[in-house]
Amino acid sequence: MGREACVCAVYAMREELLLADLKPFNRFAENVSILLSNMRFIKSSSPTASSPAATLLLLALPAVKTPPSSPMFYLNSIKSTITASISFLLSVDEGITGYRDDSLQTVHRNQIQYGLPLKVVSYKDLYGWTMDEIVKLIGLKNNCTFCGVFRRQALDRGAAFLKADKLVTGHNADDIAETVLLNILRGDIARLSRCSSIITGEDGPIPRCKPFKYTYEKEIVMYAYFKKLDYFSTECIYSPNAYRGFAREFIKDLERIRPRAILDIIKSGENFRISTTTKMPEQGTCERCGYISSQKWCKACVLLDGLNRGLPKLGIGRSRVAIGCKEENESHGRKNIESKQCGSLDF
Amino acid sequence: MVETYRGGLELLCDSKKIHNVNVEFEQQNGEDKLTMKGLLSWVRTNLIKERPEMFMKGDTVRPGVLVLVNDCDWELSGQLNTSLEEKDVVVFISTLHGG
Repeated sequence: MGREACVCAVYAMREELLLADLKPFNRFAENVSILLSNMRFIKSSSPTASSPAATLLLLALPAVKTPPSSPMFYLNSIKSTITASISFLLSVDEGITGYRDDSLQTVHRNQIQYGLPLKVVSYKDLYGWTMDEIVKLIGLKNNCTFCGVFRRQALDRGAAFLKADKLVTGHNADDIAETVLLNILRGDIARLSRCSSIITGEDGPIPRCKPFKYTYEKEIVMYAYFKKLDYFSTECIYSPNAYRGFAREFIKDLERIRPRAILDIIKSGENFRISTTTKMPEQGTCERCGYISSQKWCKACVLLDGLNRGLPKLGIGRSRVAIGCKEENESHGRKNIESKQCGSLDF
Repeated sequence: MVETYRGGLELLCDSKKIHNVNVEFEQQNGEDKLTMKGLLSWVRTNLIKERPEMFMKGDTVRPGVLVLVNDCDWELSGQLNTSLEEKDVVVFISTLHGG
């Protein structure tokens, strides 16, 4: 148990920001809020796009060696060890007028309410583009792809800037179930195999964890309501076409018929085993920026390059031949379904 | 009766979060009690200003919209059959946002 700081990424997407109620503990613990909003895993998730503001809550907490078996376990471990750690809030400003500026105000209030330092990273600073500018260029189709890819990297960069050693997002059970379904629909076997893990990227510098993995969104919203938590619920103005919206509605329909369906889907995702002979994309690093990537260039660099060269469609859809990503699977002389480009759909 | 809209639903009703409303009981054919079912159809015709599909699906709320009657989840009180009385507080919270 060291003093490593843990980063809690609160993905303030759809709104619910849940703070762990640690009052019974000590004053310091009061500052520790656990977060959450509908966090979406950053991946390509763009429901986030709908709630782009990835509000990250950097939570100080000792490294959890064993994956917690349940959110409660996780919270308890935070409570008992919190005093030795440092926590931060991290938020992403995508540059969406009328949406993100609004929710960032909430995050700034949270900073004061919970007494946690806040860091805001913006697309403009990181990439030179705001989402407003990107949408102006590419329209309302595929915009969530840009936003999702950029956000994920922005979170990591913000966490690295803060020297955090863990990034915690607020994805809830509903979010994970949606993601499992989406990955099946997309045939994205690599992501399917890891999307339901409570901790991912353990071999990387900043592992990500999802303490609310088994917590129903409904419970979180109810909690926020009864605790009168300050959260934002504006919907992103650019998300109407996002694919994830359909999965989301489907999940909610299922929940009404049989609430356990959500946990069952997560369970199915966890039990999914991929044949050992399946060729999986290898994770390497981007030649251009050094970020984790299974291609020569990471998705963000491909998209960014397209934007800067005035060819925004580059990197969208399956036609990403261009740029630095000459696929290695072509050298295999066959088309592997499992090595095809992923992440090109709007989530 | 007080109605509150949260989670973005307020946008469907003139961005006003809290509505104090008087619902005509007579609208319940023959029944002398107002139920959530009656309230929802009243809300649909009288309060929702745009995109009713964001709020209703069939004769009930869209899945993903939480309903609290006097701060109690309506799933515990009978959902559409929950009967309502004077000064009851009904809260609708949407958890559905974009995609």
